[in-house]
Amino acid sequence: MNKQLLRAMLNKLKSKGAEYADIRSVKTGHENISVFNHAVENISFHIDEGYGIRVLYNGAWGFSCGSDFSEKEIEKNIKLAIGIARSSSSLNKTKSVYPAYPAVHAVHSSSYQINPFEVSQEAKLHYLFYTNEILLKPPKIKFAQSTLDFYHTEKLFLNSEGSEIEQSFIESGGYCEAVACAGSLVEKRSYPTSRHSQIRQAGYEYVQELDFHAHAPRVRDEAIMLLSAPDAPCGQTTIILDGYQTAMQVHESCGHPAELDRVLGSELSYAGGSFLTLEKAGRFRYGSKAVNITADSTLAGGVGSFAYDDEGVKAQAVALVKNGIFSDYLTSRETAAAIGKTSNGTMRADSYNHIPLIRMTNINLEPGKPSLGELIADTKEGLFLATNKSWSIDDLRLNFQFGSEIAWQIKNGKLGRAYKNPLYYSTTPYFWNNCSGVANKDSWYIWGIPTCGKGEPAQSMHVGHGTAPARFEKIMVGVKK
Amino acid sequence: MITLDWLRKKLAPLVKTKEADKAGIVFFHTGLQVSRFTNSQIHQHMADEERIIYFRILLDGRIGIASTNSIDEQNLKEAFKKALSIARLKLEAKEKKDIPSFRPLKVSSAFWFPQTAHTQAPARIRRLRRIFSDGNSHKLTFSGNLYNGLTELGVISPEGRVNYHTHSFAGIKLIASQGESSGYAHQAGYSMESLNTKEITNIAIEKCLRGQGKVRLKAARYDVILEPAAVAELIAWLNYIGFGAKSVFEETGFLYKRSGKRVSGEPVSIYDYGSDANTFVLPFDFEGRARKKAYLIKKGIAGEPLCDSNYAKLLKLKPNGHANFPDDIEGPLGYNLVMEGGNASLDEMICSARQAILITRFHYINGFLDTRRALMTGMTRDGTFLVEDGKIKSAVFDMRFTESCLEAFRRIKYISKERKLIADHLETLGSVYAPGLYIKGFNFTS
Repeated sequence: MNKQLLRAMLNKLKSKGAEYADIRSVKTGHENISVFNHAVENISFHIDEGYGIRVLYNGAWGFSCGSDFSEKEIEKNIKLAIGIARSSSSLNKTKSVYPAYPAVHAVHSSSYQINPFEVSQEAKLHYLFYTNEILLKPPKIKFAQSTLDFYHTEKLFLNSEGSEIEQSFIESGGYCEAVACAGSLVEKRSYPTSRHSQIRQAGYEYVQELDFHAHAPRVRDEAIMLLSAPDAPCGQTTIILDGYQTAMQVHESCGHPAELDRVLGSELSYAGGSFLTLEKAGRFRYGSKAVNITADSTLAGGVGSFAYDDEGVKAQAVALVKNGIFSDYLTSRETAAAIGKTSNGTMRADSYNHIPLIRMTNINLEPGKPSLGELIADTKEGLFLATNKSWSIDDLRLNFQFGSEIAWQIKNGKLGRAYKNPLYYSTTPYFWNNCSGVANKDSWYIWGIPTCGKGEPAQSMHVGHGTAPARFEKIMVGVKK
Repeated sequence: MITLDWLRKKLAPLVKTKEADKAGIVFFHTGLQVSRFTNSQIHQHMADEERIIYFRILLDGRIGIASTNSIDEQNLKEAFKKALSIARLKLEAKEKKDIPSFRPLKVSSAFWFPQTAHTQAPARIRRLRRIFSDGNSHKLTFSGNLYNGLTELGVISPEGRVNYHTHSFAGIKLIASQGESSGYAHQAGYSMESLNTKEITNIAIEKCLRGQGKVRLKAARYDVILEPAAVAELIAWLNYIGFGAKSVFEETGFLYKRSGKRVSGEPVSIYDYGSDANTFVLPFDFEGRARKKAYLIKKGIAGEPLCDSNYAKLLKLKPNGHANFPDDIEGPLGYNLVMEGGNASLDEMICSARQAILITRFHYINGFLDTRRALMTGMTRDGTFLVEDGKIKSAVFDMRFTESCLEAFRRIKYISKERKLIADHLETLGSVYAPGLYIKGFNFTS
C-alpha cells in the first residue's frame, strides 16, 4: 500500500465535495490447519488485501472497494463511492449527522510471544496428529478432529479529518472434538469450544496454553460416557452455565441487543432489531444486581481489542449493565450523535471490502464473589451445562433456546450423573433477572468467537467475551417431544 | 470481471508445473451493488466484491492449498509457491488425495444479463422511490435491500482444461413495518427486469397491515401452512446437517445407513441439481465436475448423499459433482436444492384449514439439536397468522418451534403446486426452489 497515494486520494475526495471520507487499507493472512482422524483435512493459507472507501456526501453514505492499488483504479472507486452517496442523498429525506472528531496519529501492534507464522507447519501438524491419537484411543471414539487457526491483520486508516492510524494484530487458537458412536447414538464432546476455534490476540504460546493433549483424555471419555447417559430432564430448575455457554448467552442476549445501530433499525432486514429500545437506557432492569456487563476493547488478549476502531475512535471500557440496570449501548460516531452522546468506539469491518458496522468488542460479564465450587455447593438441585451445542434467539433478542453438549445433575451441592442433549429456554430479562450468582475471577476466562455474523452482505467478525460460570434460578429445561 | 480468455491465458499455464504431481486452480468472484435501507431511508449503500483464487497442489498424495484475492501476477505466483510449500510438508500419516480431472462443459449464456450485473445506484433508487412512496400512503416504513451483481466460477484441471460459468443476479427483500407489525416479501432472479417490485411491495404491505392486533397462542402442536420462504429455510438446514457426504461419513447425519429406507413422508422429494434453471445455476462444482441431479429424498425414501471425489472414494459411492470450496471443511453441500411441488394452491390450503398457523418465514433456525433426527428449533417472523375455518382470522405473536424436520415432513397434508426461488446473494451462494407446505401437528415449544 502507498500511504501517500491514499492520502492524495482522500484530498481528491474532499475536493469533490465529500463532507467526510475515510480509506481503510487492510491486509489479512489466515492459516487453517485441520486434522481429521489420522489424516490432514485441510492446510490452507489465504491472503486478502485491498482498500475500502467510505464517503459522506450531501448527508448520505457511499462505499466502494478494490484490490488494485493503482492510482487509476482507486480514482475509479472514488468516483463510484461518490456516485453511490449522491444517489442515496437524492432519495433520503433526512441527512446523516456525522460529528467531527479530532485527528489521531497512532501506531499499534497486539502483543504476542511466539509468532505463529514462524512456527513450522510440521510442528503444528504434529500437535494435532498427537491430539487425535489420544482422542481416538478407545474404539468407541470413531472420529476426532482438531484444528488450529492463525490470523495476521494489518490495517491502515486514513480519514479526511487528518487521522492516520496503523494497527497490526496477531490471533491464534484452535479446538478439538471427539465423536463417540454406538448403534443409533452419536455423541460429541469438544474442547475448549465447539464448531469453531477458540481464539485470542496472542501468538503460538496460546496454542501451547490450550494444551489439547492434557484435555483430550477427558474430552473422549465424556463423549463415551454420553452414549449411556439419559436424556436431560424437562421442567423448571436451577441451572449453572459453564464459562463458554455463559459467553454464548452474553453474546446473543446482551451483546447483540446493545448494538445501537440494531436498536435504530439498521439490521431489521437481516437478524432483526432489539428489545433494548431508547427509553430503556439508564433505567431498565436488565438483570439482577449480580449482573455487570462491560464492553472493553482495551482488554489484553481479547479478540475484540484494538487501539482505535474503524472510525478512528479510541478503544474504551464502557459499562453496558451496571448492578443489573441497562446503562449504555455499543455506539458509532453517527449513532451516538443520534442519542446525544459521543462514540464509544465499536465500529469494525471484517475485511477491506465491507463497511464498518457496530460490532461487539469484548463484552464481558464481570466476575462475582463465590468460587465455582461455592456456587455449586450452594445449589440444592439443578443442572450444570457445559459447552454450547445449539443456539437460537428471536428477532428482538428476547425469546431464546440454547443447547449444550453435556449437563451434570446438581444435587445437594454436588455434581452427579451426566445427561445428554440438555436444552434450556427463556426470555432475556427474565433470565438475567434470575441470575443468582456469577463465579469469581478464578474461573473467569476470555473467550474468542471468530464467527459473529452481522450485516448485508454478511460479515463474520472476531469478538471476545470474558465470562465466568453463572447461575440462574427457575429456568425451563428440556422440551416435550 | 474476469473472462474465460483471461483464465485460459493467465491462470491455466500455471497448472503445467514440473514441481508437483498435479496442480489445479479454482477462481470465484462475486461483484455486488447493494442499496440497504431502514425506516424508508438508505443507510448503507455500497459496491462490494469478493474474489478468491485457490491453488491446489498435489505431491505424493498430499494437497496444499493457498489462495489470494489478488490477480496481480506476482501475488498469484506467491500463492502458487505457498501451496507448493504446504504440499511438500513431511507428514506422519500417508495421504492419498487427488485432484480430479473433468471434461469441459458447454455452459449456457442464458443466465447472463450484463445490464443487471452492472446496474448502478440511480436505477435502484428509482425503484425504491416508488416503493417508499407506496409505504407512505399506507403510513408504514420499509426496511430491506435491493441488490444486483454477478457471480463467476472458473475451475482449471491439472491438464489445463477450463470450466467457466457466469450469471447475473438481482434481488429485493422488503420488511414493511408499522408499530409492532411487520410483513415480509422477497424476490430474486437473474435480471433486474424479472423483479416485480410492485407485487413484492403489495405483499409486504398486506402482511404488515394484517399483522395488527396480534393474539398470543399457547405453546402446543398446531397445523401449519408454511410459505415457500419458511420451507426453504428448513431445507437449507437439512442440507447443512445431512445432505452432504461428510455427515454420512461421520455418522452424524440423517442419511447415514438410511439410503433406500423411508426417512420422510411419501410426498417428499428433494434433489440438488446444478443446472436446474429454477435455481441460480452452478453447472459444475469446485472440482470442475458437472453438478449432477442427485435425489436426497425421493418419495420419502433416502437417496445417496452429495459427494465430491474424496468422499465418494471414502464412502465407495460415485461422485455426483458436489465438491465445496477447496478449503471448506464442511464437505460437499447442495447449492441448487429443489423440492418437488404438489397439487394444492396456498389459497386452497388456507381454505381447507379448520385451525392452522400461516407462517411467512422462520428466523434463526438451528439444526444442531439432534442431527440424526434433524431436530431443529427456530422462531416465526414477519407475518404469522391464525387461520380458522378456512380464513385468516388474526395475526399471532411470534412463536418458537422445536421439531424434527423429517418427522414433520411425514405429516404433510398438502404441497403447493406453486414454487418459489428463495435466494439471498448477500448471505449465501446457494438457492432453494421450494413449494408451500401444509403440515399437521407442528410442535411449538415457547
